[in-house]
Order: sequence, then C-alpha cells, then structure tokens
Amino acid sequence: MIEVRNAKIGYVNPLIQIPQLNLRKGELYGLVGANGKGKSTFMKSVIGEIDLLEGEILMDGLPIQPTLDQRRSKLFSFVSSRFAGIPHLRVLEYVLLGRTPYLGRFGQVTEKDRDASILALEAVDILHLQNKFTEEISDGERQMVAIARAMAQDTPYVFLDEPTAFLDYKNKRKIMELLQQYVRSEEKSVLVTSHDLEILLQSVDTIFCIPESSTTMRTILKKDFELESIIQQTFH
Amino acid sequence: MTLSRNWIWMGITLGIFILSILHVLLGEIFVSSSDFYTFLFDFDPDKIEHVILKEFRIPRLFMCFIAGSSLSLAGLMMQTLFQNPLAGPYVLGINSGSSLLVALSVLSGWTFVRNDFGLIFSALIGAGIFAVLILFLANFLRNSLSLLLVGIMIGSFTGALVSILQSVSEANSLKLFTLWSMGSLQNVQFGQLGVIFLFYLLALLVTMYYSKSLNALILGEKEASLLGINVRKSRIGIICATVLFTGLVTAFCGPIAFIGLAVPNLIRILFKTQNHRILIPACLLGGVVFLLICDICVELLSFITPLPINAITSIIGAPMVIYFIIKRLA
Repeated sequence: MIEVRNAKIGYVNPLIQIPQLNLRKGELYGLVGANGKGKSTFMKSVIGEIDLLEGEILMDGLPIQPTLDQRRSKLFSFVSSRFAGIPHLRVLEYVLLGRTPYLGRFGQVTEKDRDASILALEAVDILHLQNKFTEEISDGERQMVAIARAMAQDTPYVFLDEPTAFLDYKNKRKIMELLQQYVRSEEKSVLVTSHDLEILLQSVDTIFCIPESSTTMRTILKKDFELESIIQQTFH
Repeated sequence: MTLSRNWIWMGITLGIFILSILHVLLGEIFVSSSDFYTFLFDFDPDKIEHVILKEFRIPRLFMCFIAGSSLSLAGLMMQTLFQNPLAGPYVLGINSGSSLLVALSVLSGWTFVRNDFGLIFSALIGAGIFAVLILFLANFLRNSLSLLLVGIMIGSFTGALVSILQSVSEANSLKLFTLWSMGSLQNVQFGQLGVIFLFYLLALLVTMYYSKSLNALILGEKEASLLGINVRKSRIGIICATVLFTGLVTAFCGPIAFIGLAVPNLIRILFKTQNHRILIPACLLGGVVFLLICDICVELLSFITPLPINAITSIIGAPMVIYFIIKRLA
C-alpha cells in the first residue's frame, strides 16, 4: 500500500495539497480534475520523478524515497493517453519491452519474459495481433497493446494517464472493464485519470478529485458517487 | 517469417563471401584465383601479385569491413537515440571535427605530426575534440532533439570555417585536402590493421553492451527511463561508441557519406524488426555488403577513370534516402 501524508505537490508553488491518500492493492482508483490542475504532476510525484514540497510518501509503512531510483521500474508502470505506434515494431516486440526491468544486461529475452508477454496479450484479448505492426492496428487496439505492455511489466502499481481520451465510447468502456478485471484478479493497485466521468464512476472504487475551487485533494468513496456533484466540484 | 529471415541471413553471409573474393581479385592489376590460393598457403615476397595482395588488396578489403560496419552501426545508434530515421553519424558534427583539423593541418600547414600520419592523426584528434564537446553539451541538453540541432549547427559552423580555409589556401594543399575529403579505402597499411581492429572491437563491445538500452530507447527517452533504463548514462555510452566508429573511419578513410543513413533503414525494412539484438549484427553485415558493392564499382571503373569512394556511396545512397523520405511521407 502507498500512503501519501500531509503532502504539498508542485514544482515551486504547491499545486495540490493532500492531507491523506491511500492506494491499496486490489482497488481501482480514478483521478479527476480540470486541465492544468496537476493530475500528471501528482502521478510524477508519487513515482518520485518530482520531489514533494512537503510531507511524505510511504510504501508498506516505510518511506518510499530511498533506493526508489533502482526500484521504480519494478514498482510502477505507466500508460500514456496515446501510443502512436512505431515503424517496424511488432506488437509482441512492443509488449516484450515491458519486460525490460527483468532482462539481463545485454537484453536477452527468456522463456519467462515471453510467457508473461503472451499472457498479458491474452488478458486483454488481443493475442491474435501479436505479429502485427504497431503502426497498422487501430487506435483502440493500440491502447490495448499499451495496457498489455504495462501488464507484462508486472508492477504492483499501474498509472494510466487519460487512457481513454482518444477512443470511441465502446472502447472506453472496454478499457475500464478490463482494468476492473485486472485489479481484482491480479491484486494490483491501478490509478486512472480521465475526463470521462460517467464511465469512470461506473468502474472505479474510489475517486480522487482536485476541485476547481481549492487545491486540496478530496477522496470520494463509492457510496458517495454522484455524477452531478462531482462535475460541480471538479469543473465549476 | 522465421524462414524468410534465415534466408536473408544466409543471403547476406553468402554475399559477403562472394563480394570479398571479387574485391580481392579485381583492380587495376588483375590477380588470379590461383595467385590468391598460393598467397594464402605459400607466400612469396618476390612475387608481384603476392605483394599487391598483402600491401593493397588485403588492407583495402579489411577497411571495407571495418568502415562499412562501423558507419552502419553508428547510423543505427544515432537513428535510435534520436528517434529519427534520417539521423546519421555525421549529424553530431563528429566528422566536422576531423574535417576542420585536417583542413587546418593541410591548408595552413599547421600540424601535430609532420609525416605520413599527419592527416590521420589530425582527423583522430579532431574527432576526439568534437566528441568531448558533444559529450559535454549532452550533459546540459536534456532531450536528444536539442542535441541533434546543436550537432547540425556545429557542422555548419565548422563547414564554414573549412570553406574559409579553402578559399585562402594554395593550389597544392587544396588538392591534398580535396582528395582526403573524397574518401579512400586504400590509405591503410598492413601494419596498421591491428590497431584499427582493436579500436573497432572496443566500439563494437560498447554497442553490444547498450543493446538493451537501445531497444527501450525506441520508445523515447521518457518511456525508456520508466522502464528502468539509465538514460543519461546510456546516451553517453552510445555517443562514445558512435564517436569511436566514426572517428576511426574518418581518420583512416576520410569522410564516407550515406552508409550510416541508408544501411540501417534498409536493414529495418528487410528484417522488419526494432530489436537491436538482431539489428546490430544485421547492420554490421549489411554495411559491409553495401561498402563492398560500392568499392567493387570503384575497382571496375578504375579501368576507365579513378573515382573517389565517397562519390559512389552517394550515387547509390542518395536515391535510396530519397526513396525512404517519400515512402515515409506517403
């Protein structure tokens, strides 16, 4: 579990203040906030790319910062809003890159790495694409492939930065359902930022909201999910 | 897929074998295959064909191997590091360093060593100085695009300096410099091959050491760092290997264009992969094939007129590069 305590997050001036925030295993979290309110800054701070201005982050009860640089790629995986594809790069090759933290010095791929990548492709139901080129598949398929890569990386914490932003409604739902399944079956802790509030509310367990009116992050539990009130808080 | 890739490997290997034999036998004086056979097993220092083989043909073939693979690998690394298929070993301005120092020593008469090695020495020193400069700048420039731009700027700047030097120099030294800048694979003596091979091996080991980093860098520096790659260290290591490869070739053969740009692109199209554990050996062999073909053209045309290798690599390479650009935009 990751605990953020009394933290001020930002580059010079605090963008977000977080009295208390927990990321537990087996739960799916949503992060909402208007553009420029610091969603990405928050994620970068948790993975230690930006230092906290104040406060501390604990992992399983201990400060996360020492030796984080060596452990980061085995703790956190990251999916960005868009993977445009790369010429001559096949889907399976791309997913195998998720295994980079586990490879030997010269990058030799073992049977275990191959199995993990195949399993990840199976989990997102796109094994049939494994020999396709990342440039020739659809946007929705590419996003699935990006998620498969994060799964192959096999980290306890997975962050997705607006993974549904460029997808149609059907694919948006598909991605969120997939993440729900993944969190339950693999006991992972997954955080998704999104502006698709309706779909987010249907799938996540907890929402972190950076309100428009203040910089203090709020935690909204599932029992208090109400679309209108969250829209009000976030965007007005 | 696997079958066709095996065929490509076999084709390239067979191609190198056949081209090498052709390369050794062809030239202004034709050497027969029986001469070559006796050269290998019964060397006679008084036989003219044997002397030609030892003093000219073997070093030249050897340099085809070294220069072709070095430039192609340097190009591969630059294209991956800068995520740009049009990057090459020359964009970092490393060869500009060689050109500038060679121009200085030849055109102004100011030189480090006043003997046959003067040119080579100047080129190596120049590549070294500019490499240190680039490595120094790489520490400050956080992304590779800025570094690429700075490399191009350094190239233009030194290019201008060389032009100025050329315009004020006398005819004889201008000719010497122009000849160097056309490139030649015939400048190396048998005794130098050991040292060259040692440097080459060092650069090759560094390249192989960074194959994992290169694979991750395909995704860009940010993603690579999230996958646990030490991007800064890798970038310096990759640039070091590029400098060694490029400096070595430029020093001994002059600036040879287009191999670094054309061969890695061609290899990616042929092998349809971004896995550097395949691309590195493939570019190594592919560069050798490309340069062997170019140099055999030079040897064949030498019956009509002597041609610089740089002209041939450009004549074959330029249409290829244009094809890549059009295909990429289409």
